Order: sequence, then structure tokens, then C-alpha cells
Amino acid sequence: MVKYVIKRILILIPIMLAVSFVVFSILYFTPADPARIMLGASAPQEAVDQLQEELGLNDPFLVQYGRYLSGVLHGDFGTSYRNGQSVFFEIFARFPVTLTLAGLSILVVVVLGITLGIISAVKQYSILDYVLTVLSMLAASIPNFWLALMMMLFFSLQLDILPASGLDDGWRSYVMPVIALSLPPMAEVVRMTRSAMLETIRQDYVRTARAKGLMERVVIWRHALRNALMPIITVIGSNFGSLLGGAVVIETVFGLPGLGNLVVTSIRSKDVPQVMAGTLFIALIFCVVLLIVDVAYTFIDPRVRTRYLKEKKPRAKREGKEASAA
Amino acid sequence: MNLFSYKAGKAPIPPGGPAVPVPTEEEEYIARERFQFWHRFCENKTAVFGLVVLAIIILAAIFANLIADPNLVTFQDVYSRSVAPFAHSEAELERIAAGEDVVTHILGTDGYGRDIFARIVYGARSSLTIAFATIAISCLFGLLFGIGAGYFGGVLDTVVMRIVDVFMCLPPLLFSLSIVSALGNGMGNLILAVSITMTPFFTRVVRATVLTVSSMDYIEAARANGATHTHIILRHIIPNCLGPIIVEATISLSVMIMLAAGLSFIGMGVLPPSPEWGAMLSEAREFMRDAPWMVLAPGLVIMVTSLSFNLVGDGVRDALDPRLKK
Repeated sequence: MVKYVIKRILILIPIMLAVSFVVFSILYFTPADPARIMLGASAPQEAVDQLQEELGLNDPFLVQYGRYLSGVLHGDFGTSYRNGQSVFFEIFARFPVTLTLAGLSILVVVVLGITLGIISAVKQYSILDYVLTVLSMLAASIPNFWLALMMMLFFSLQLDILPASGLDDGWRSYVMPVIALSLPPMAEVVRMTRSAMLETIRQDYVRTARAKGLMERVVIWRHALRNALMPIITVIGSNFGSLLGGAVVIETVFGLPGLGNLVVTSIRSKDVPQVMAGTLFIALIFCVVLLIVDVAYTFIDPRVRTRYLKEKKPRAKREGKEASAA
Repeated sequence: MNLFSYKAGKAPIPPGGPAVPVPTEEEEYIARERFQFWHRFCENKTAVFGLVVLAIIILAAIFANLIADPNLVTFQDVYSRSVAPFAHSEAELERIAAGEDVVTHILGTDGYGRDIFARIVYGARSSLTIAFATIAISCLFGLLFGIGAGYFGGVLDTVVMRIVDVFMCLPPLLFSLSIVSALGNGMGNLILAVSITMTPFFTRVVRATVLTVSSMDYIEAARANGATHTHIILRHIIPNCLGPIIVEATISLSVMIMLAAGLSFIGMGVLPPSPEWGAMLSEAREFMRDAPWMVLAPGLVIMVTSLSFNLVGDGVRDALDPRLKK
């Protein structure tokens, strides 16, 4: 088990390297003129050319990437074109904001999404189920930035009970961003939980559990939910990506000083190293979450666990199984 | 062949015209399948509702010039800024008093004095163009890579899927964002960026479907008959993969609408003077306090469009595979 987790963590390294290569090659084409940005518009052309040479911007692509990579491995993520500081300071200051925002949102998504989904499935065809189904259908289609604007209009401008932007009000600053960010993915989770639970509730082992006199609560939470969790977790994992992407927009709307906001403002000011570092860190969060999801499979489903623990199985056989599962 | 009606074995004979060939057994089977698909789709009330709404939106986009005056889209009436829905500005009231014809702004005007209704109707053109173009491009490449990986397998499969894994580590919106930042703003670049972002998702779906289809006996039979790879792929693999891909594509259309609107909202997509729903929301933000209708209408339109794509997508899925229906 531990071996499997370590293996997964080690796989993260080549993946992050590849991600950095992809992002670097995309941003390489950014029509920015860093030397001009650093020296200002009035600087003579010779000075700009000289600085460009010094920064190594005239070197071939692979040389530049190699230099960037060796810098990263030494803990140097580059220097911001705008203020000449290491981009890491900015990242370090903003990382907690994004992490808090995304963490709280995913917590809401998981807890509320699964609970509401179970309620919907257990009380199938009731009014509550109907209302939840319609609401989750609607919520899945709301653009999160519009939801943010509407909430701002109502709670900040009309009622004046929640701050419209910034982080000055402690937890109250996070209320609207977290709702805006978590509602659409939560709707997906409710729908997935409902259909997965409806499937397991009809299984024989659930009937057995009921027949042997277990409390309904135990039957639902321990027997039915546990077996329904796999597809739910998959949905949560894949929605975390759109949640992080949404965080970029939501942070801009609410003026939260997070990584997404940093990436957007840096793109506007053509500050390529800052964009690069911000993007890489968001990708890192995403990769870690995908890893947690993968490891969670093995915790939840003993079948997956044994598949990874008994590595001696012939490879062809295992792949055949995967193919038929897909 | 008519998609929506089916007459078994009866070939209509046009009076005096050339004889229409009687459908072969295979054609008849396809026609029956299509009829059943359409029949099952129509049984689903919400899906039909979504289709009707969608048809209205698409027709409005196509015939935008009949619904709204194209000149109103970018015409900035400095005397009629921030006019509420159905209201008239003082300048317009004077002109009405003078007996002139004045356009009634049924959704009001924005902060620059442009008619919001006209902008929304013409905005449907760009939003739908972006959505359908990106789906077409990413489906095409998804099919190409997915079939390459799933059908031929081996090294190609490993290479393609590892690359897909890497691309999937970047949250979609962030990935599109960095591509747009490198290519520059504009509708073409936005389409390209979102297509590149979505291709890995489709590659994954196609590969998974191709894997299941390739292990079927009829593929084996075709190969035993000496069919070439091209023949097998074109005649057997692609037709049998289409179902899941169509479902995925329909549901993804709503993702595309959101993604494009989100990017335009943070100023990284369609350039400001041309109408786009996300960009309209972004422009309306500063006038939100006094003119809430400016943020209401574009957001509602995005939501309704994405909702109808979702409803149709769900309907198509249920109709293609009735076993999945709950």
C-alpha cells in the first residue's frame, strides 16, 4: 500500500516536468518584449537589445527551457519582469488564498453534494427528490462568474451583509466565492450520487443487509454508499479541474489575491515568468488532487487494492480486464 | 434518407419518376434504429423542451439580422446610456415628442448606450460558432488520436495516452487561458485554444470506446475476411463508436459555452466591441450597482443555452442507451 502511494508520488515528477515543458512552450510564443517592459518605453533600442542578450532571450528554445528547468531545480522560479523580484515571493503569498478557496469549496462539494444526492436517491420520486433534481440541473448550467455577480448584487449591494471584494473581512470574504465556486460542481456530484445510489440500493446485498435487521442509516451509509462511491469520486476528481479553473475567474471577480488572479494580471502585463510559475503551481495542486483520488480508490475498493498489490499478475491479462472495464 | 420517419419495406414510388430502389436489409435496420432513437428521445419531455429552446436560440442566431438591427450592436448612443428595459432616455423622449421613430430597448442599454437585446442576439452567433467549431475540431482530432491509440495500440497507445495524461493535468480554463495569452485575443484564437484544451478529453472517450468495440467478434470476423485497417475503421469502428461520442459532444457543448464566456469575461477571448455574452457581463460589472439589468440578461442567456445543451445531451444519452435510464 505504502509502496503504491510512493510510486504514485514518484510518477508526479515526470508528469510535472512534462507539464512545465508544455506550459513553457506555449508561453514561449507570447508576444512579449521583456527587455522593453523592464527598461520602460523611453529606453534606447541598444540598451534593450543588450538586456535581451543578457537575459538569454535570443538563445534557442531548448537552451532557454533547460536554463529555466535548472533554475527551478535550484529553487529559482525566475524573476518577474515587472518588479525584478523572484516570482516565488508572489506565489508564496498567494498560494494560501487559492488553497483555502479551493479546499473549502471541495469540502462543500463533497459533504453537501453526497448528502443531498443520497437524500434524493433514498426518497426517489418524492417532492424533495424532484426539487433537488431540477435545482441540480439548473445549478450545473449556471456560469459561476454570473452567479458571483448576482450574489454580489444581492448580498453586497442590496443587503450589504457580505463584502463584495478583497479579503479584509476574514471568513465572510470567503462565503460568496466558495458558494459561487462550489455550486456547479456540487450539482454534478448530486446527480452522480443520486444515480449511483439508485443503482446500488437495488442490489441484493443491500436487501440482505436490510433483511438481517440493520438500521436503515447503516444500510445506506455503510453498505450502499460505500459501493456507490467509485463513480462519485471520479466525478469529484474530474470536477476539481473545472473548480480550479473557475477559481481563476472567481478570484478575478471578487478581487481575491490568489494564484488565479495573479496569473490573469500577469498575462495582462505580459509577465511571462510569473504566469509560468502561477500556472505550474495550479497544475501542481490539480495533480496532487488527482493523485489523492487515485489513492482513495484503493482505500475504498478492495478490488482495486488487490490489483495493485499483486503486481506479479501477467500484464496482458490485467490490461484485458481494464479494456473490458472501459 | 429521412431521419425521422420510417416505413418498413415500403418504397415510395414517385408517379412517373424513376423507380426508387427498395432499401436493403442493412439500410432498413439503420432506418429502424434511427426511428426508435427519435421515438425514445421524444418520450423524454425535458429533452424535447431543451431541443425546442435550443432550436429557438440557433434560429435567433442564424436570423439575427431579421430580429435586430445590426447597426444597433455597436452603435453607442451617448444620450441613452444605462437606459432601463422598455424605458426611454430623455433624448429619446424628445425625439418621440418630435414624432420620430425610436427603438424601444426591450432589455435596456449598456453603459455605452448600446442596445443590449441586439447585442445578445448577435452574441448568440459568436457563442454558438465558438461552441460548434471547437466541438467539431476537438472531436475530429479526438477521433484521430483516439482511434490511433485504441485500435492500433502498442507504442502509439502509450505515447498518445501519456501525452493526454500530461495535458489533463492542466485545469481546462487555465490551459485555454495560457494558449490565448500566447496567441493573442480574438475569436479564431479562442476557438483554437479551447479546441486544443478539449482534444485530450475526446481522445480519452474515443479510445475507451474503441477499445471495447475492437474486442468485438464482428471486428475479428471482418479481419478474418481480409478487410483492410481503413475499411474496418471506417465501416465498423467509427459507426459503432459514434453513440458515446455524440453524447459527450452534446454535453461538452455546454462546457464550451461556459469556457468561452468565462475566458471572454476575464478579457481573454473575443475582443470588446464585438458582442459576446461573457464580455458583455464583464463590461456591465462597473455599472452593476445602478443598472442590474445589464448583468441579468447576458448571464441568463448563457445559463439557458448551457441548460438546453445539457438537457438535450442527457436525452440523447438515454435514448441511445435505454438501459442507463433511471
